[in-house]
Amino acid sequence: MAEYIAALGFLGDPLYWTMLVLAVVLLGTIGLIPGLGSTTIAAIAIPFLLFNFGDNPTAGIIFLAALGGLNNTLDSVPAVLLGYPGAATQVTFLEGHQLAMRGRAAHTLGAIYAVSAIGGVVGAIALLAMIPFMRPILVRFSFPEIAAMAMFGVLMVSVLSRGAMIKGVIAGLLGVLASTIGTDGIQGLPRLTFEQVYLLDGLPLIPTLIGFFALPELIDLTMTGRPVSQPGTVSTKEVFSGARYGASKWRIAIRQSIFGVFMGAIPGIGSAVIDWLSYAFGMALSKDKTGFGKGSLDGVLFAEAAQNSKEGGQAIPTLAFGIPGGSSWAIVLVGLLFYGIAPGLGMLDQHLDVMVAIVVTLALGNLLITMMGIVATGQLAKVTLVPYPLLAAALFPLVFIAAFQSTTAWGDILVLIGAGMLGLAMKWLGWPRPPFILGFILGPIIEKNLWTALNVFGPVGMLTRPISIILFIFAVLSVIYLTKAMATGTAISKIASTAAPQGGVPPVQGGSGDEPSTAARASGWSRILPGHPRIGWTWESSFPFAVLAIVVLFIIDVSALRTGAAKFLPLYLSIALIPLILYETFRMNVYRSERVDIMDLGMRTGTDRIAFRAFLGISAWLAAMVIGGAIFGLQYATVGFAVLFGFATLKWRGRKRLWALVPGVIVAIVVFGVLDQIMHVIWPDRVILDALLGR
Amino acid sequence: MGKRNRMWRLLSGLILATGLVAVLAACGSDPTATPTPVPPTATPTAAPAMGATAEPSAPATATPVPVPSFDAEAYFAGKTLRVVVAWDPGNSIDAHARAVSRVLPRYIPGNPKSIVVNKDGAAGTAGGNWWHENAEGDGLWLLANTGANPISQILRPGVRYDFRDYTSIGGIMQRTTMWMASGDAPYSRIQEASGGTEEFTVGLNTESETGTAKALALAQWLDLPMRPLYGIGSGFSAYLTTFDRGDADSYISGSAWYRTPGSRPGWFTDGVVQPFAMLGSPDVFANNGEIDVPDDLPPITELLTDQQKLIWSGMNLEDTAFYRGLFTPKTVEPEVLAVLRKAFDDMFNDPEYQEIYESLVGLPVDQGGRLPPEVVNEALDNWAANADAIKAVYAQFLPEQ
Repeated sequence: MAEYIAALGFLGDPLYWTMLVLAVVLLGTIGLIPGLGSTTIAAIAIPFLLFNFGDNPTAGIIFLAALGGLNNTLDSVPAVLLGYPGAATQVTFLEGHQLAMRGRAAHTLGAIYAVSAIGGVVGAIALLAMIPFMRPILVRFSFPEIAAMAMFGVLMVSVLSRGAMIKGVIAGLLGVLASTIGTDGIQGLPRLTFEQVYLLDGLPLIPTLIGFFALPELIDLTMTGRPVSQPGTVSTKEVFSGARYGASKWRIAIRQSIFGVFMGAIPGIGSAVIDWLSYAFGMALSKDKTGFGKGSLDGVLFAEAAQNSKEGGQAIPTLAFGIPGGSSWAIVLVGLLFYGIAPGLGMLDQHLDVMVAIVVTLALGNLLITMMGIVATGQLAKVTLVPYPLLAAALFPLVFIAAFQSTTAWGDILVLIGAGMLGLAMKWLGWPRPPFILGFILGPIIEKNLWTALNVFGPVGMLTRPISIILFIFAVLSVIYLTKAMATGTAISKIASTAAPQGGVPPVQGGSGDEPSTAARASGWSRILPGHPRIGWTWESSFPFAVLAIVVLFIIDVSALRTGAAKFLPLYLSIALIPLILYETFRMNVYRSERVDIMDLGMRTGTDRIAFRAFLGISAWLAAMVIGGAIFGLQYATVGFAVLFGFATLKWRGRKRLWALVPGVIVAIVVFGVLDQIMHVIWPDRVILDALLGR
Repeated sequence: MGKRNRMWRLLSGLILATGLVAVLAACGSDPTATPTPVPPTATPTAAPAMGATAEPSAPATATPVPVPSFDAEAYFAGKTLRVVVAWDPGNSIDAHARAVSRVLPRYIPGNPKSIVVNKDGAAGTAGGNWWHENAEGDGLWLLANTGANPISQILRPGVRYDFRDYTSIGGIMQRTTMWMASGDAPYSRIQEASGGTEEFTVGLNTESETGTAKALALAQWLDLPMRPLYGIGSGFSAYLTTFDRGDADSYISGSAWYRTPGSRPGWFTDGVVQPFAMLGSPDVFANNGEIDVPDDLPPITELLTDQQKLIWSGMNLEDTAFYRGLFTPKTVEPEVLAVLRKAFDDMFNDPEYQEIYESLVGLPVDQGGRLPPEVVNEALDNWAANADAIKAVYAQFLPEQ
């Protein structure tokens, strides 16, 4: 114990506090710029730290650990306020943004900060406490166990498909199918890459995610022309009220945090899925399941507590076993290497000072970020009172820039647009999107781990590993229970409220029932006669055919591969999807079923001709930005878009209209100040100009 | 009125945007003015048989570098070097490139600025292609290779870069590749396994990688009862996990020999792992802090026939001559090239760089695999002359793409 207390000596060092505060400030400012994650900042900082603090590993490692371990609190802010989710804030977006639409943004963020702080502290304590005991657990989690965990996640599709089970399952399987694009993890053979180098790594996660979720929300919110919230709903008082609510849920927060630590400690599970798993875990243990998917604060808290605590969990394999628990900890590992500190169980003996410093930093840093968040959010949440087109003037360019940072290729922009079109179509036509993303993230984990497990242990060996059997049975049972419980909740909610929450977002209407769907009812593209089969062409009934075409494309492409691991999943999954799609098409056109809310956000603007016209208008703007980027350079096109879009869409008059310059200034600072001068980003080629000039 | 107002809004917006874009364009995003690129020439010189000089046998020696006769200070002052890394930020390859980017300019007259440009994707192919299309022959573009290397060039799909157009500034290191076996494996040395009947497993990443081809080639040549396990992963972390969990009997690692004692103290002395075969050059192996190189562990080449040795050295180029070097287009003026090569040489005497090198590689600079550019370029010429033969060898072991 005395050694641990002695190791706290760094707390008296002003350099320690400087590094901690610097990391927190960077995360709260530059780290929030789309496309600039903490990982990139840390990578740039490594040589700087080494050359300036080479004789003080604690200072350097602290800085890296703070950047890596504290990046999960403030990334909730854009997800809640702007409908702009990141890779690890999809649940926060699904539930939290609906709360913001009801004017509860400040309250929600306050609650998030409180549970995030609890999660961070639990993660930090767990890091120190669990290291001596983690080895026996970690060595038993091999490929079959990780595959079983991932399958648990995919089975969650049935829960997330509430109200539209077949659509949800199709979406989930389609997500898995999309994840098989690129080089497979066993044979290393390309699948559906069309001989494009860009696709060899598969569809990149960030452009796919923000295209699928953020872009449709931005388009929808811009089409409304209104602010996210109404005046009178944002105040610092609300933030504190939310923080008090979050703190009052400390038991739940600790429970979810322990879950997060455990998930984070298993390398291979992946950060992007922990929020969904934690959400499911929390739902399973909740008595009242009726509110989930419709703007549930508890749902947000389940995910957020685990997201923050998982950093402590991910630090365990990183520091104790030299195996990076996540991408941000991989940087810390590089930093340790630079300082000549070999991670391993010997860390506790040989580098106790560094270990204790990291633990204390995670705890203190979380508290600091929480305080910073609470202080700033009262003002920050006021962006929800700004007319969305003004925000969109900056957000659209930033979305494109963020997507482009993934691999700095035009392909990122095309993936963003493709995923955006698919996401918008699903949102518009009442298909749940979360199952797709879950399938997309978990697909590769399942495919690779399952094949490797079969390879290493064989079918018998795999099925006789006790932990994987327990995990699989637990997964199936909990999913059956949750699906039944959620179905009960749906029936109750249907009676209680078929209308959208007041001032809120209508959940998507799924199924094809007695009443016409939202799209059909509003658009008049088809007329549905209760009690009669649908006749005639509709967007809604045509969508499955588009999905079918994609599936057939997969079958044609992968059929050319020689038999083996690369072929198995995409081929048989595609074949399995065909009857499901045909059944759904038949059901939508002929068979009538119950209509209930599904777990996704519907179109705020409706889906009528006026909305469609507004959508075409925004699409034209976006197309102009992309084409402008291909002619003049993306950096100039994005700044130009920010200025022009603000001026063209803002209805303010007189001096007030000068506000339209603000998005342009913000985007220009990000593009030229940060990305160009600090990050030295490679901007995409001016492909149209080059083609015209024959270069 | 409404129409006029809308018109005015659009017009004023357009003017503002044009003005802003013009100002920004004038400021410019390109930190250096670079001369127009000269089309590269691809004329590989005739070379001896494959692999004849491919595997450098001697550690680094200082190369006499001509003193630049032009005003290097005036040429480099105020300019920016771009060190292109075909990998994402935050791994040891990127970290090392960043260290080079920081130290190298100290030894270039005029002390130019230096930036690292990451262009990752498709295991180096995207970055290599980007480099090929953008790098100019002004001495300011340096490729920190790994991933994008001559062997990948002839094997991977979609490659547009061409190493025949590049010249070496210097090789930075060789891999300390060792085939490690678990203490419970049926065999402790590769020569024991040769002709054996009891099967042992090796953890590999995918069927399509050069590392896999090497393992399969050795299995065929030495008649090893080896079962490959694909999907285990690559890198030092995968190596640790493999033996932590007992997933495979053996694993080939580029850094395990030196890094294991730090991460898993006692693994060598307690016999948890043991060196199964020495695949890297014997020059880069010494006592690793726990054990000496065992006497019964000859370099792998000693177990091969002359023909197999030639093929092996060709297959092994990416771990020897082409591993983590700096390249630049051949069109760079000889005086500029000489300055860069001298700076590269001087960099190895920089105490800070030496410290980083030791941290990353695990052995001191003077014991490491620093290679003079002449050695790398000779290997490059050999490779260019024998590319088809090397490709044919790999084709025996890798699936068709």
